[in-house]
Amino acid sequence: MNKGFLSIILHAHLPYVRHPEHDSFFEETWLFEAITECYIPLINVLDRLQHDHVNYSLTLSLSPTLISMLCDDLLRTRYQHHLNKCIELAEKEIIRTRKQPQYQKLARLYRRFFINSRKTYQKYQCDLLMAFKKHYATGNLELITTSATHALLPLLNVNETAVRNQINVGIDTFKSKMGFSPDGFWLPECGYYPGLETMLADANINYFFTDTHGIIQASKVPRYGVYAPLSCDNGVMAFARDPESSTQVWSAQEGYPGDVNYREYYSDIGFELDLDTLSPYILDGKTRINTGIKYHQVTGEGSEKQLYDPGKAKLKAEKDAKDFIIKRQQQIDKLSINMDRVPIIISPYDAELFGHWWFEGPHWLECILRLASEESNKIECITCGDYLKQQTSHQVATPSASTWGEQGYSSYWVNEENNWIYPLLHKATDEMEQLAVDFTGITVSPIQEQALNQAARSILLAQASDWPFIMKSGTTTEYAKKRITDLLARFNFLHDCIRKNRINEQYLRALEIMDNIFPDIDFRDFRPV
Amino acid sequence: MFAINDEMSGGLSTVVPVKKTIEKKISSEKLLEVSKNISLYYAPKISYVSKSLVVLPIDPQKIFVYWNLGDQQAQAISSNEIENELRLRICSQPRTNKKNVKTKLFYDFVIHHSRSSQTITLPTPETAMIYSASLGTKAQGASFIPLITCDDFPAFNGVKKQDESKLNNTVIEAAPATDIYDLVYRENQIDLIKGELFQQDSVFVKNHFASTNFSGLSR
Repeated sequence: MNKGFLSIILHAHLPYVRHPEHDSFFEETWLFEAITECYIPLINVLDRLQHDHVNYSLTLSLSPTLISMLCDDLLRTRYQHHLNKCIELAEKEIIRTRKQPQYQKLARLYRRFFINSRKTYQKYQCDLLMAFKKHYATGNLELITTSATHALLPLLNVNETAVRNQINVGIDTFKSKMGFSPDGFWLPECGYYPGLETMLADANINYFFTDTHGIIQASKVPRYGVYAPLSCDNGVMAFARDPESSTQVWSAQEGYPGDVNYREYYSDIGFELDLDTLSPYILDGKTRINTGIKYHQVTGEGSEKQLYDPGKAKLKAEKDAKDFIIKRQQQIDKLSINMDRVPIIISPYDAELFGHWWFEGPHWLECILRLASEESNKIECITCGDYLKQQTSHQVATPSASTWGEQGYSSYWVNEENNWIYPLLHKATDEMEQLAVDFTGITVSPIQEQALNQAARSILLAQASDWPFIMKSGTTTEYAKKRITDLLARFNFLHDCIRKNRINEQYLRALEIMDNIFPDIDFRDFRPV
Repeated sequence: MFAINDEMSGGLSTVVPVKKTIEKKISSEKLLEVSKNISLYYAPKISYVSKSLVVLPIDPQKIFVYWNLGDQQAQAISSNEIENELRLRICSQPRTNKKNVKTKLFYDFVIHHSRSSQTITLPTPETAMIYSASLGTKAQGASFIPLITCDDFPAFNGVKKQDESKLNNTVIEAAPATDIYDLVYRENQIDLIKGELFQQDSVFVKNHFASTNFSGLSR
């Protein structure tokens, strides 16, 4: 067996879905589900690993919008209310299924699950960032970030200032909340274009990630394929996704999460029970949504869904984890024949896969990290930051423009469903730049400064890649359309007020409350360099 | 509308702030009202001050182009569309050129005067290309007159099979200036990682989990 490195990167991101103008809002449940099903289980995994003195290595990217929502008081309050409702619903399920012992067993499992979530949340005083910082301090968890609102940077590149601000505001937000600067940067959707590394270097970023073909089609043929990073001309390092380990987890056909023993995502009591039972637990009392309580396993096509067996699923996750490690070892043995250095396998995934889409994902991940730390394995989990400390010489080349989206480029974000946004977005971005130019270097009143900063917030929020993504995926399309048009309308309103020097303070204050992200933003940074 | 504008412009603020008591807390009803009013009266719309032509690369074969000619020009073209065709001209040249070799190609696409954007499919290059774009007019027998141009932009340099039948625009002329390109067959040079490890249409990018609705409503 040859030695090899495995770097697992989890990218945690949600769009900014905070709506204080409503007492409750459907899209906020995205955050609540992610906290309950992904982030808390991940923290519990890290806590157990620490407790057992497992020397693991993992990288977690936290997007600035997610960071902001996790420490927002309104959302914390709403989340606790949501969680209490989940517990209440699970308790009602225990009563409802009292004559169906198999179902009742699962209802009890969910009750325990939600109660444990509440326990962990309260352990960290409703501040999950505290938990991540704690594990960062152990040296086992590397924390990095991404652009301010997860904008797809190649599509913003018509205005360099816009790209620079997405990077810098993102890093500043991370620094302000986490207390240190990130070493690495997660490019949203792995969206890279040649030259982007210049701005990353200006922001003191040492490495970023591209999709596989970003390196395979680099300006020079990569000597080690994707199993060693490339150094851009300015020294910023580019790591590329390994397709083999990706397929094993991501693929709908071959990937682990599709196994028949795993919990079925779509079979949720929110779509099965009668509305009278559900109404206290769904937002408006009548629109069916996921509750998180699911009783069936994937089972397989053409068969009636079987009841979920958590014990069996757990064993399957352990088996799949062993399989993953064995396959990585085989991969490393094959690669080592032709490599004069230790290969590194880059395995990035959306954090929300683990626990939300793939309920057993966190357990699988824990098994991976435990197995990789065992002496008997030649695989060593490592973060990219630590790898770069060990391996200091690299091939120099420029990656090629790419994303990890469908077909490897930008088609998911520029197509008939969403291309209408770009003229509007670019126009507003240019106008913001002009505002910054016109109002820098002159005395501005506090209210003007507030309005200018709020205009900058509106632009950044409108630039999120989530909106065109959702429009293409055809899911909550109306929400995405409304969100981007509302944000651009807010910018237009502020732009108009500022230009005419007629700022309605109440309206400004209302916008500051609704879009309260990036408190330290400075409109002056939106001037061209 | 004027009533709403009055409300929005009430509480005027000049360089010296007007002293006024501002509510520390604003009710959710008021927040919603503010949001609705702004969305209603300040909805984004295209009204450019200056002419522009912007190109966004979509993939190695496609680009998305949008433009604004300005009202005067647009009207002139619209009234004279029979004699003067509006054309989008895309020029391409290899990113790395041999010295003194002219290798520019250009492709013209007829654009209907009412359009302000278009997705263009370009013939697949066999090497990394840089493109430039111009929007202009061409009368029969006359030269192309550019009205607005766009800075050079590099395209994605993935290699795809060319399928002329899928070109979705009318290509009027595709003419090489002189000479031929150097061809770089990247795949053949990758001796370490080949074949199944990288595929343009690989399963994993098509089945990206994040492409599913987060809350499951997509089912």
